[in-house]
Amino acid sequence: MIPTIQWQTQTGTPVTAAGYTIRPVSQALAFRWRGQADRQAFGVIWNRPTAVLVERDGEVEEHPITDDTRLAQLFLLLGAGFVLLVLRLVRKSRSSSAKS
Amino acid sequence: MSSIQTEVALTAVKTPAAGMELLSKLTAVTQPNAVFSPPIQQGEYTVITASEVAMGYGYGFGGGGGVGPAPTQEGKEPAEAGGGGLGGGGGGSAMARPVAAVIIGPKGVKVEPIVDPTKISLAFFTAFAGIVLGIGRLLRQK
Repeated sequence: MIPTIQWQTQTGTPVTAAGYTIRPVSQALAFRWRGQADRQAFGVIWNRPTAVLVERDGEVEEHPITDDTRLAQLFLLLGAGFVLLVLRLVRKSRSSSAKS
Repeated sequence: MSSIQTEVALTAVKTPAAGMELLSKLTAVTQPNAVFSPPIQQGEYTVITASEVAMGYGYGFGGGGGVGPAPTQEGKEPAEAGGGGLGGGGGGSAMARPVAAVIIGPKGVKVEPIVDPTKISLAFFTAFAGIVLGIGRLLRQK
C-alpha cells in the first residue's frame, strides 16, 4: 500500500480580544500508511505553530512564532558537528604528513 | 493535550475497523486548534499558548488457520481437525511542548518565546561530550 504524506499550512478559528482579531497559523506534516485490508495501519503527525495574524482596523500584521529551543538545539548540534569535522580534517592531514 | 489526543491515547482498538476510525480522528491533530490553546483572560491581558504537537500511532491484526489429520483411534476412520487464531496489537505516543505565548494587552500583541532549558542543556552536554571525545582522539594520535 502507498503511504500518504501531507504538508499543509492552515489558519485556525479567529479569536477576538482587546479589539484585536487573532488568527492562528500552523503547519502540519502527516504521514499515514494503511496495510492490506486495513489490517495494519500507521500514522505520524507533527504540527507546529508558525505565526499569528493580528487584525485591527482592517490592517493585518503577521507575528511569526519562532521555536527558540529548537533553534538552540540545532545551533549546538551543528556547531559540534562542524568542530568534529575540523578535528577529523586535522587528524587526516596529520596522518598523511606522518606517512610522507 | 487536547481532548482528541487524550481520546486517541486512551482508546482500546478491538477490531481493524475501530483502528481505522481512530486513525481518521488523527486528522484533528493536524488542525491549528490542536496547537493553539483557548484564550485565557487575566485582567486586561489575554494569553494564548502555542505548542508543538507530535503524535504517532500504529496497529496490526493478523490471523491464520489450518487443517490437518487428527490423532486416529483404533477401529475408526482417520478424521480431520482444524484450528486457527487471531491476534493483534497496537501502540501510540503523543507529545506536546509549549513554544510561545501570544499575549494580547492594551499595548498590543506580543509573541513571547518559551524556552526549555532542560532540552538546551541536554543538547549542550551532548555537543560538549562529542567535542571532548573528538579532541581526545586527536591527542591520542601519534
